[in-house]
Amino acid sequence: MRRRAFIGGLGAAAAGAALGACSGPDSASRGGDADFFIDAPTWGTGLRRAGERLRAVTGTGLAPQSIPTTSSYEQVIKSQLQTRNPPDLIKWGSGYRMQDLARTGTLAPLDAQWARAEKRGWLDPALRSRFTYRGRVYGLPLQNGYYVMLYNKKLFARLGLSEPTTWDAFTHVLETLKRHGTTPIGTTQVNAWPAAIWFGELASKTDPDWYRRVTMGRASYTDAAPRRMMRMWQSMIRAGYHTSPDRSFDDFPALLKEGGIAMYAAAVSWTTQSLEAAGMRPTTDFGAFLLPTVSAGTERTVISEAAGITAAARASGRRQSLELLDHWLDPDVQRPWSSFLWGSSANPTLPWQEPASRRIQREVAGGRLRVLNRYWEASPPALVEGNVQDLGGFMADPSDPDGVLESMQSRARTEWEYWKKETS
Amino acid sequence: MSTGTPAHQAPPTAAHRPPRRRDRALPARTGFLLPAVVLVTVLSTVPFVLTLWRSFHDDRFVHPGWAGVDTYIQMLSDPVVLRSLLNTLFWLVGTVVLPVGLGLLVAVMTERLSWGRWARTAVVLPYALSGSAVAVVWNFLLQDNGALNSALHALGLGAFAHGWLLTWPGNTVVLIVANAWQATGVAVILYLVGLQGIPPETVEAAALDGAIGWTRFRHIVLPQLRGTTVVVVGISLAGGLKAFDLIWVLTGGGPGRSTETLAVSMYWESFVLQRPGSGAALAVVLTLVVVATSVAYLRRQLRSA
Repeated sequence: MRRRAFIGGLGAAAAGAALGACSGPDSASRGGDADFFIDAPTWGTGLRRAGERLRAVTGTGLAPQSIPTTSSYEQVIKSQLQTRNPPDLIKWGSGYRMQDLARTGTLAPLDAQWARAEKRGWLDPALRSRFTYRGRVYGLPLQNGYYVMLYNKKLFARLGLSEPTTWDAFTHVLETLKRHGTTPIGTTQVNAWPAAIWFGELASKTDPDWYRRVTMGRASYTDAAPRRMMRMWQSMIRAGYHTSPDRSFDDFPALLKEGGIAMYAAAVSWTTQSLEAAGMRPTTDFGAFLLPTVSAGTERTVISEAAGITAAARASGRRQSLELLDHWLDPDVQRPWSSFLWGSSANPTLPWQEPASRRIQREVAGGRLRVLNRYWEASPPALVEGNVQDLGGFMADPSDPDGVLESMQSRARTEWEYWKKETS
Repeated sequence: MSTGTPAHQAPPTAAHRPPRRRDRALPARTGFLLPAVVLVTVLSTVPFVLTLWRSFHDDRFVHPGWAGVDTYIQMLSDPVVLRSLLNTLFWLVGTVVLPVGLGLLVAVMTERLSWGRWARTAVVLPYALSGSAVAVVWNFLLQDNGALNSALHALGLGAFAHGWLLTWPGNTVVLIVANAWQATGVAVILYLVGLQGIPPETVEAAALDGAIGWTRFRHIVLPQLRGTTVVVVGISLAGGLKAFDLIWVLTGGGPGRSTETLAVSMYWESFVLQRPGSGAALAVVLTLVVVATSVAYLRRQLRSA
């Protein structure tokens, strides 16, 4: 009898615990801060600072929850959004990434929040298309940045190198660095997405028009321009200009500091945080330049990355989240956030502190630099995921560039057809 | 001695059967069986039937359309899936041969040694680690700038240094070796138990007959370890077919999806590409491989037992 009572009690306790677990997260609905899921663990501090300002205005702050690797993050979020208790707020990619998530019907529309922010001059209307699916807005920009080549200034100075402005000068830099025993460029395929960075850089500097058209499904991966580009990439890999593709992208700041690599492509302004954490000081230890175009007459472009902040449609604290998002782009809220990122605020009224991104921002505003979307967000996710795997395979074994392009084109045919069918 | 019904004893007819007693036992029997039946139905049978149903439908999330065997045809003509199937077969062979062979070797070699327990502890210890932790450790070892290549350079064997995780099929082989490093521990434990269960008289009798060394091991010890081997091979087969965490953390299935097994491909289709139909079809194929392997193995073992 005592044993039965014990087992019964144990069962009741387990059932109680299970019910408790099902009752939902400690979210904005209970008067706490809004859960904000992000894939960048180091951003928690900046978001909490912005959250303090938001709490003063709306009564709800931000409680950042981080899941480090991009692939794990995306899978966890997609699964959680299907549940009855999804997170209140979610960081998500713009462009087709945003559309892919919005089409599942799990995101709350943010048209009113966007309209109010735009009316107050807190938003660049040109960004709207990156957060829109079937005419409705599903995200507000979390940050906006540009891809540059970050380089070790002291290493360049020691070897008598300067920031290259032409492809010939860039090639000279690569040859000099290699001759002196330094791997010139940090690139990798670990965690998949970094393979897209160098592909995007190289493609946009070879033929920006082809890059723009192919990401929209209006050009072929087997055109002459990509074939030329892949052969050039192949010769660069064979010349030893790239790191081994099994290096981690997270190692690059430390490698840059110790001279293991001389440069790598990354987004400013926020990547400079990692360099400073590695012990490098801006302007004296590291600098940034735009990768030159391969041919002299090619239009100058820059790759941009804009992530979004979205709200889950089924979140228990949805009302508070939407109220909070009404003030997300408020300069008072953006100031601590932008200060934390060294710039990159999507609110155009806030100046960017980081010199390279400020310089690019001015050039973009002056029409001297055309902005292109990052490859990761510029095409349907399934197409990009598959193609990035192909590119990762190419980085490991660059023997068949044409085969890689044919595989990418074959996937493009089926995935664009699938995407159009799914979203028509 | 026969265990059948004696000829002179007629089987009980319905009229003579003690119905009350049986009826009283029925609810109790049902009560004992019910939790297991419900658990197996809810957690295993229903999901399998749903997965099977899903695999014959397209990849739409909402209102999926009937696709028949199209998904299977498309999947089996995909070179990535075919390589994934081949990798799964590599894993099947590798995870049986390596842990079983190494486990037996370590158990036999260290059984009678005074310092054997320390050697066994070193081999058994990785079994306590999670697959993800093992992957992180092996990543330090196998990276291009990792410990293995550094050691080869230090020993003047730099010509053998290369990207261990970068080219197929070598990367799949090193993943299987990493898995064997972890899985051998359980084989050692089981073989030690098996060795201790061998009656010493049989070994002594063989010694008196002049059987020593390999001959004694081959003809006296090994046959008596048959039961243990059945269990070790069974566990290794299951471990090989469900291999996921080690691959996912160490290579993510790459580069170029070259290290995927069916379990990783299923995850890739279902959760990365969000293709529930294709993911379900891969799950069904994986189930068929698991069931076919298990049934073939167990039938063979049970028949010979």
